[in-house]
Amino acid sequence: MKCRHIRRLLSAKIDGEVSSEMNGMLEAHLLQCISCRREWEMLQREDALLKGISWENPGEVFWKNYIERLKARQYEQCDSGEKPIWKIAIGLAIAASLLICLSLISWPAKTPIKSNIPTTAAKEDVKNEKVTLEYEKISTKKAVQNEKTALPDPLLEKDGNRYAMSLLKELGPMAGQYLSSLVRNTRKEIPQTWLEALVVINDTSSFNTLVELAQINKYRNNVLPLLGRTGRKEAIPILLKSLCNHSDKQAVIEGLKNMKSQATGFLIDLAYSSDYSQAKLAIEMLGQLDDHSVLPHLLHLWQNRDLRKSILDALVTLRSPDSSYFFMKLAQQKEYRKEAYQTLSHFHEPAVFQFLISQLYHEETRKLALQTLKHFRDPNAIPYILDILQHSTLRKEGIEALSLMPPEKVVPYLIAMLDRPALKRTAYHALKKLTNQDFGIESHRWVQWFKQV
Amino acid sequence: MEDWLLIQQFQEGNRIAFDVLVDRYKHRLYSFAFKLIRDHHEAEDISQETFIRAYHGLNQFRGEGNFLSWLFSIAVNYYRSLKRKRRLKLEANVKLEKIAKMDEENVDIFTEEAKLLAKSAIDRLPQKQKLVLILRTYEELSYQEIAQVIGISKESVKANLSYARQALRNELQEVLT
Repeated sequence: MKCRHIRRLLSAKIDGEVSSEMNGMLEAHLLQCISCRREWEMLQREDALLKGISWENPGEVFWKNYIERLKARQYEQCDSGEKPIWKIAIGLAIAASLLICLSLISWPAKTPIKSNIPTTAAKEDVKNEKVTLEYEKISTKKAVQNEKTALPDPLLEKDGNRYAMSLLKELGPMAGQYLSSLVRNTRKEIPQTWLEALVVINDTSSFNTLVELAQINKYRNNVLPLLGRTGRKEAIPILLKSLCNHSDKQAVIEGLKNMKSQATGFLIDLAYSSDYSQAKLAIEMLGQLDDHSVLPHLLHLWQNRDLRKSILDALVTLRSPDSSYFFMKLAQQKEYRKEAYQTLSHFHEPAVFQFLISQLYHEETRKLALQTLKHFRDPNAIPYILDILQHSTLRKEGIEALSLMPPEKVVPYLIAMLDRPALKRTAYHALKKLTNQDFGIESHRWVQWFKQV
Repeated sequence: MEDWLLIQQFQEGNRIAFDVLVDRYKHRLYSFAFKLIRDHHEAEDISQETFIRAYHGLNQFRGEGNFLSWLFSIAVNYYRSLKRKRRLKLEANVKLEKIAKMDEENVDIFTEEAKLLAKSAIDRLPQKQKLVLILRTYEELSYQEIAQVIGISKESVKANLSYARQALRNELQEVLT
């Protein structure tokens, strides 16, 4: 038998899953073949290493109510799963009537009578529209070609003119040059419709005009979003530059959002660049774009310590559930634990809250979980934090966390704790600190006081 | 009391018998799930869902194979369905693994560190290899039992185990030599 066949069998040998005959053959081979013997020794060491791994245990508290939690879940599933017959009947009736309604609503639209054969009045409307369009096209073309008169006023100044934009687009560079010269020469305030028209024409001169306007303070906020709407890649560096030089954050963000995936791609590339100031800027913007497809890149970039602060801000802004999931996973790795918990304190989400509660019951993570939980100021955490007070090393932090909760929620728990000898003193000090009152170490006076309050 | 006796009692209507079975196997099942998924919440989810499914299916259990193997097979099925549903979330894991790998290169080789490396190497194994390795190494199931739990042939168990160990050896070479 060749060595490669032997090696495949070594795994079964270590599990005692080879016949005694085969085992004898393997032993004989191992005696004479140094390289297979080395492989065998390696396999044994590997097996020992794997068996020596200690896996995290959720702790006694976790197991204490396991069956109760299981039953609660079972009851929940029963509630949602088993419906009485009458509910099913009503459900079917509703579904049937909905189907009938939907077919009644959609039927006329599907019939050709209404959609394809217009009424006489409608025909007239269509005709008038065509006539108006043709008229405006001719007059605009004339105006542009002769450069004698300005573009017809209604075309550029009347909001929502349904022909103006399509017409300008059709005229292309000719309209672009004309409008650009108008913009440069005008002494009046440039109307927003002119700016919009430059975006619609979107030829080189229109784009350059927009870039020039983006340098002027009074137009910048209006023009930056429009630059994004041109969809031109050249707009991105201009937008970013504007962000460095001035503080038109919202306008820049809007501009980048208007560029959609183009901006995302550009920013991702920039985020990986070795110029950290550019990378940080790109990461900040990536967080603002509301595009969750950037998440894997942000998480990948987390490797770079210098960028972590920016990535954290971006992740918090992005608010993707996958971000918190990532940090919950990361929190289980010792080397990243501290940073992961710090980060989680920014994700005030139910899943994170539940995770932190569960981590209170692990010796290794208890302290960090408590410190993080503190930031949530969630009264639902009170019973769990009180549980933690049993650990003398965590009492100070536990009480600090409790002091951030609404006193009316915490005080009853603390009064109840006065009856537990082990926690009496802690509860007493916490009560004093939280209420600025002192009714001694016995609970009955505190109860009386609390009833009056 | 033996498992089969408890199961018989349950099938005759004694629901409390099931609580005894839960109490007996909750640690094993939870710890199996945790090794697979490395997340306490999800491990609890898998273990509880397994018990709930077992509860509903126990009347049909005819005792072919042992009860624990049957529980493992329910857990494996649920785990697989979870993995299918949560592909998106696993994206984040992939990145995490990359980070772990990056740091592995510079880690000093101490026993505890080696164990940490081994854990993350197990995490990175393909699903089938991970399942056979965990069922064999930690749950000490025979090849035949593993084959039944996962629903593959005994030969496939053997091959997958060999590949899994080879993959781990390759990753842990520095630690093992």
